[in-house]
Amino acid sequence: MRLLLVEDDDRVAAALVAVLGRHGFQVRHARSGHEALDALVPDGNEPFRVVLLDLGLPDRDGFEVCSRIRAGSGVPVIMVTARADIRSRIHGLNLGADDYVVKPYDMGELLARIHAVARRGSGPPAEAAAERSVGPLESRGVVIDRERRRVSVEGRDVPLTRKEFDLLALLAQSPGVVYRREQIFSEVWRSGWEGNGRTLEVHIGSLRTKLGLPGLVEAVRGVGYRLIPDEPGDPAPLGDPAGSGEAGR
Amino acid sequence: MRNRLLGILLALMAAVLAALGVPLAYLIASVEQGRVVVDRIDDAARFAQDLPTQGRATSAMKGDPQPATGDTSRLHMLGVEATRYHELYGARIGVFRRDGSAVAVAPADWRLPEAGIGAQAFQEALDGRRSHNSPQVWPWTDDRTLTVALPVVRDGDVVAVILTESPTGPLRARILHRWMVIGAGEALAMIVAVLLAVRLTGWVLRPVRTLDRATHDIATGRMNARVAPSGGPPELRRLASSFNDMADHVVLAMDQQRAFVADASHQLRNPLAALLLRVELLGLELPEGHEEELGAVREEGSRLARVLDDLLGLATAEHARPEPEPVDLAALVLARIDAWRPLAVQRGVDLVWDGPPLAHGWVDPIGFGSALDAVIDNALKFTPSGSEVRVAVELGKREVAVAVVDAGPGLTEEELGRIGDRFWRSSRHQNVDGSGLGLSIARTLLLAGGGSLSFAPAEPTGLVVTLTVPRKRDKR
Repeated sequence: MRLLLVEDDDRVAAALVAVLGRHGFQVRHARSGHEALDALVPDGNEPFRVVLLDLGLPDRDGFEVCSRIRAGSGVPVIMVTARADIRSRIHGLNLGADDYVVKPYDMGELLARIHAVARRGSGPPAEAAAERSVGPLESRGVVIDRERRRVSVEGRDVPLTRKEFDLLALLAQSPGVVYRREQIFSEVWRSGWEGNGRTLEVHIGSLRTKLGLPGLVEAVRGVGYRLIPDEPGDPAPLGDPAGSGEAGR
Repeated sequence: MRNRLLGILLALMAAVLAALGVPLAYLIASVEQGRVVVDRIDDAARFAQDLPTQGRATSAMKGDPQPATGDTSRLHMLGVEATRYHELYGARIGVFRRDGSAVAVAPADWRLPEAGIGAQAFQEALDGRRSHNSPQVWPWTDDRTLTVALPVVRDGDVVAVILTESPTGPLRARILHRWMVIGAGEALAMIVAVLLAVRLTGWVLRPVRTLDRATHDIATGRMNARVAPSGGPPELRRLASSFNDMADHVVLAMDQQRAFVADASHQLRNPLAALLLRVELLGLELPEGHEEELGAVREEGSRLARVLDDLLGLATAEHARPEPEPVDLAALVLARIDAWRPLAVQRGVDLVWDGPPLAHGWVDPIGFGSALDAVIDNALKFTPSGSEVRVAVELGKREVAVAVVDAGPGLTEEELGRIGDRFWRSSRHQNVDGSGLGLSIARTLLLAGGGSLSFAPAEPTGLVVTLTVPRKRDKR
């Protein structure tokens, strides 16, 4: 999943890019509103799913950038800002921000918000992403039929329990993106806290066994799990997020 | 101020006019009277000339039984003259011998006065003195006559006395008339003085009034009020411009403070955000089994963020210009209690409400709600599980009091004096969650709306925090 981070403070940006990279996001960093608007021009790359917009920009007012982004595309915008006063929040939301996070934020909360707005996400790019998300999975022979809640590998149906299917469907929303444990618990178990510590591991294990693809679901230590969209042997290097390569562009 | 200034000016003016007018009136009266007296003396002198005193005439004067015939006819003539004089001028006139017997008198029944001013004047005339200093006649004098006596001197002896008693009516009328002229003049001068004084006080006080208005505006929070340059004394003009400068400086200082708060928060939030992100990153690298420390570090970070928020809240609360409005505090308090109930239930504390169904107070609902939140939060923090926190609304004569009673450990005397100070926390509660700003924010919010916050120990243990707000609009 590609994100656009608009942030003038390099230290915050670097840390955020690193953390998001560890979570499997590809982040493009823009230092100014101008740069951000340039980056949003479609250039054949995978479109951005979410924009994280800091309001304290050097060249123009963040609110203005937000309304320009809104006018130009349907990409969801999360305002990330040091302005905590209620008036700024209301103003930002009125200008078309989809969400509003005040620094310093909790990482888990920020990720949950990113996933939330990406899910609501914009029409066509999201569909394209959904199709693409099927693409790499299909390359490995996995087809997920969300309508009929059935999964087949290489054409044969794999019987999954309700929770196993929900888990696979969640991870397949954004292949490559790491889903944090608490998020998986919220969405699959509808619970805000992790039951007994091993439940998730047990389900992941049975998923791997049933699908016969041990390398499909990867555990990222300290974070959570993700689907590996590519063939094993060519894993996306973690820690050096794919997005950082574009940041200097 | 205006009335005092006018009073002073007009009193001075009145004193000056009186100091000029009273002697003038006196002078006029005495001049008028002097003219009458001189007139009468002239008349009397004419009679004195006509008095037959040549040769044997003295015999007639001395009351000889057979006076000379020429004398007799002249005496008769004198009588006729006197009668004519009396008819003409309305003044009595008489020529008296030394023994007081009349030589010629008009009107005929007039006799020498036995006592009083007439007798005194006669006596003086016998001693050879003219009566100059008859008592001053005022328009209100009871004695309606003016007596003039003139000795008739022959060969150094006083042989007779001519006494006139003229009515003072015309004299009094003349004096009164001239006094009225003076009075009219003085009244005119006074009117002019009043007009001038009003103009002067207006000129002096207009800048003071605008200054007063601007000061009041600034005191009640309209910081953009300034004194328009107007006339008035140069000192007050200088004062007004100094006042404007001062107001500018105050506004500038306030703006700087506000900007500092905003900047500080912004400048602190970014590094804090970066720090917490780095902590997350470190957390990803940690081997298993360190979740607890990582959670603790995260907790510290978010606590720092909360302190920052509280500080900002305090700064904005101090700048807040609440707009008080009539609010049903009973409903407001109930709403806040409902909001806190889940947390209370989670902590095993019973939130109890007690009060009238309706309690109108004059508050800024948001500020009061925030203040009450801080107080209830505090009470829930210190109340052990299983006991209760009571919120009681009481209607007073002038104010509504909302008391929050907790069953916590309470505070010592010394601590009661310090509670509500910024960042103050009882050393015994250093480990309870919070920044120590909650109650000072509450106090600031209440003070801004004309209320107050007070603390007292509760029985048997615990703390009573009372939020007091006015029932009626604060007339400032």
